[in-house]
Amino acid sequence: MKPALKKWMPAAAIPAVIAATGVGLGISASATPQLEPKTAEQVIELMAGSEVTAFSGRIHLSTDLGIPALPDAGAPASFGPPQDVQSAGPGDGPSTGGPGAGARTSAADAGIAGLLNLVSGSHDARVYVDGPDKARVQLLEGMGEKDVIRNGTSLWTYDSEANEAVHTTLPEPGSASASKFREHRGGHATGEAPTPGQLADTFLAAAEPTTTTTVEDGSTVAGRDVYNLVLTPKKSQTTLIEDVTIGVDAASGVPLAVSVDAVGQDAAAVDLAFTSFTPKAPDAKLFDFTPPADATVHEKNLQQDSNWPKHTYGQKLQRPMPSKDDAAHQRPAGPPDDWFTGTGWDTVATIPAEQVPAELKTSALVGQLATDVDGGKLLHTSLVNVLISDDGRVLVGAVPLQRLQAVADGS
Amino acid sequence: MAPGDTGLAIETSQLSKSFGTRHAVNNLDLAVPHGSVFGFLGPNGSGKTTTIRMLLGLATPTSGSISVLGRPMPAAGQDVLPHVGALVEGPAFYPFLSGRSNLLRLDAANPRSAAADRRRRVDRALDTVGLGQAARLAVHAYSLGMKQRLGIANALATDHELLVLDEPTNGLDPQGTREVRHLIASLAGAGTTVFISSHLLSEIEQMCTHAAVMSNGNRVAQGTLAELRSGGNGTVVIHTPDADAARTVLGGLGLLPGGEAAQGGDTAVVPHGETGEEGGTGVVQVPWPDDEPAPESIVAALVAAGVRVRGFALERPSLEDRFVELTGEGFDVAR
Amino acid sequence: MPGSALLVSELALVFRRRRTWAMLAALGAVPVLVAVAVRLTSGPPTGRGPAFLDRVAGNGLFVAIVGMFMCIPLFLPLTVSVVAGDTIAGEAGHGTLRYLLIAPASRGRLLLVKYFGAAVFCLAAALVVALVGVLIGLALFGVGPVTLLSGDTIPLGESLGRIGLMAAYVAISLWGLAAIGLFISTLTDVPVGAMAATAVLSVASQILGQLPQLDWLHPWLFTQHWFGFADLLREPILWASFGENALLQAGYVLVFGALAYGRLSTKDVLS
Ligand SMILES: Nc1ncnc2c1ncn2[C@@H]1O[C@H](COP(=O)(O)OP(=O)(O)OP(=O)(O)O)[C@@H](O)[C@H]1O
Ligand SMILES: [Mg+2]
Repeated sequence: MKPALKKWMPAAAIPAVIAATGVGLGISASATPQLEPKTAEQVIELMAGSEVTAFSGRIHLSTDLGIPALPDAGAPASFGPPQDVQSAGPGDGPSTGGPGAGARTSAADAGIAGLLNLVSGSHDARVYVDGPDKARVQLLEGMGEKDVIRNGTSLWTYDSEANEAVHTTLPEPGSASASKFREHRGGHATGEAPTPGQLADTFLAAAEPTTTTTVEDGSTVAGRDVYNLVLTPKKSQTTLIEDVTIGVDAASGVPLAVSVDAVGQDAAAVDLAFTSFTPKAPDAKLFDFTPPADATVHEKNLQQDSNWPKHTYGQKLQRPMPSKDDAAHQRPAGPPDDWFTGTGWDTVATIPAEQVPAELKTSALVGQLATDVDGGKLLHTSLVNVLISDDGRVLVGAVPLQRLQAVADGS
Repeated sequence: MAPGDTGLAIETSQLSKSFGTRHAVNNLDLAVPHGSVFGFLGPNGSGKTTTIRMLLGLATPTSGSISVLGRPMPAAGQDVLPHVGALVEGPAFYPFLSGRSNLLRLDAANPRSAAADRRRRVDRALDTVGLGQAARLAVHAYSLGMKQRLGIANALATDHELLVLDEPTNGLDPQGTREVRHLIASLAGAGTTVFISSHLLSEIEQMCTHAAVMSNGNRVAQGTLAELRSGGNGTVVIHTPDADAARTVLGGLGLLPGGEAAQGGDTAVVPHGETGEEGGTGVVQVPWPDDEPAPESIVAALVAAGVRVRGFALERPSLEDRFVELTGEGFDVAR
Repeated sequence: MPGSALLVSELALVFRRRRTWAMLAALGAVPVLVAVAVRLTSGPPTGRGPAFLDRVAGNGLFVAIVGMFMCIPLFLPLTVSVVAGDTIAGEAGHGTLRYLLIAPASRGRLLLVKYFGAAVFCLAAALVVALVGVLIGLALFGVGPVTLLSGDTIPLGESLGRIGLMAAYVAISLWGLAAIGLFISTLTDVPVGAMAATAVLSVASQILGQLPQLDWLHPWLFTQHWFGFADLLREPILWASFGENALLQAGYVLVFGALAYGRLSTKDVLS
């Protein structure tokens, strides 16, 4: 070889090695792990029997709901980062620099915009959980962070950009909501806790009429091998949801990933997965929150919470991540049963006109995003449709518009 | 370092360098003996500096091979260069550093130079070139000649087997030039091989034992200084009032190729003094191309023919004449 | 150790130049200006400013943090471009490159030493901003425990440690750029050209990083994590961005170091 060529060898070899390492890591990450075959029931049993109650990890959420990007969303502050500094891996979505509440939009618009930002693009969060009553979630933003810290009956939320902390006192464990939770989970209000096997049976029995449950090839999430449990709505269901995949850690039974595919959309509508996961109790200090001395601190009384109902069925479905809003608005009781029409995937929630906050109707942003349809205005996403009917009711469901219209007409 | 098998400090064979389509050096064969002071001559743009860059591994030859101190260049550069001091295309320094700091830095760049006596060696080299006083002055305050001296000091900071100096006396005052000459003489006396490129022929003539002449990238001559000079035409000069008789005799010896007449300046009769041809002395000059016949036989023949020889001389061409003869008269830079 | 002499000499060369001190002084002036401006305009700043600017009046340590945020997009890359672009081209321009090479400093060793000098300058530049920021903050506002993005408050000593870490993060962020500058510097004998080209690249990369159409490219841009040092202000520290940034910069250093070696070791030194 000519000496000159030899001198260029490192320049050729190093990028090649880097590329090869990158590809190699990609292959090993996407490789199908060798897992002991399991039926859906066994995987559910594994999940139900999981004994991991304390863990920490980092979660990545990316959503593609087909919502038009908001003009204000993710506009970096001057001297701010050119983009979301958290997004690291290739394929990360565009930045969302935080709830971009421009000065010109109204408070309601800001709330809606914030919500939309939360459910669009990609987000990173860290979660720390130690048992059922200690948890901390940190929603990581470029130059800011939103924290939710629960420690027993004390619930703090903190927003670094506003330097604002909200304290809520939750009901004592063992109260109505706590037992209701248990009831939901296992269907046993009293008596001994069900075995994982029983739980699996109960779940499958409940899902049977509407859902096909299968186990697909395993994959790797946060470096751990997972079973992929796939819930597919049966043909009889008219829904926007194609299927829901849950990645269940083969070693611990913890669900490490959830992704929801929408009908007729290639990319997952919602993809929520741990990017790192440690099944060990986090540092206890993390759950002791003292608000900063100079922060604005609000004390919140649960009963007086007058926020418009963010906690709707559809939203619960599309946003399984434990976020500030979910935790903050944990109500003693859910919405009344007579709001719901149908069962399973094509359930539609109808919010009576008097319960709908006035801001929703007057919001310029809603006006901008909604399209006029027969019988009202439609807010469309690839997973959920919201129909604001002419008579003021709001209908929400993971269903096509026609079904919303039918429900609106029928009741 | 042991001398190479050939006993040559520098040897190149078929060394060529082109810049695009310009051939700066063509199939150059150089042989620089150990211990010699080797003059490397040539007009501007003839390829001297380019050759020196290749010898020192700064430029890669297009073809051909180089061996310096018995080792191939540029392959063995890291082993050879610590034994070579050099000045290439003028001195070059950081203007914001003092002369001394500059030398210290360049000395530090040599992994084989001892850190312990670095300062002492540098100070000694500065004294040698007469910069002891100005050593702590920033180089941007140096004159052209001071920089040149500093460049030479750099080449002297460590003891080298070979010095390669590209136009070392450029910009020096007469004292400086003399000093450099003495310096080179003393270094050569101590056994250092010195390779000097220059177009100052008088200087080369005074210093060198060997020389090579470049023209247009080609080597047109190489050898000891005596060999180089003898390669050209000598001249027989005779002072005599009997010019015609002298010419006849010289013709008989075969020294008048053109016969009788003085054509084209080959022979000339130069009036000398106020006296005319009859009473005074004329000068007869004839070429003496092959150093034949021997001077004594020329004089004997003249005297035998009754020519009154008042003066007889054999003039060797100066190196300058030889240089112009080899590289051409034109003032324009070739190509 | 042979070769360390050249290393020391290189550091002396970089830090004895008046230009270097002028650049460090300019960098140090940024936190001073921030602090003085906040001091003179009483009351909390209105409107949008650099991140954390509103915290400055309450805690002088934030002067250092705001200073680093303000310097990282332009001032720091500019000064690093000057030093890195000058590495080889500057030597070539002075003609000293040929004398270093025949000293002999091998071309590989010279590159290492030159890069080392530029990398140390990156560190010095980041430290100057941080240190001047802390000092002027202390003088004008007083310093105290820092409130992190997560809402937790850490004691003064740890706060200073975090600022030191941020300075280290900033320095590491600039090492990739320094390697690019080193490579560009081997391409020319005109140092100003290499400096300008390097500075332009640092700005261009940041612009590319803002184009959502080039999402796929963003993870590979050396400017991608430049602002990520905010992650050091979380509790617990989010080391991921530190690690990703370090890995990315190491990749740039290796690739452009190898390119610089390829170029310098095959190049005819004719200056
Ligand atoms: N970098 C270059 N690019 C193109 N051509 C070059 C370069 N350097 C030198 N040359 C050409 O090579 C030839 C030899 O140049 P060189 O510098 O070796 O001459 P020199 O004998 O040292 O002249 P001088 O006596 O003026 O110093 C010249 O024709 C010159 O034009
Ligand atoms: Mg020359």
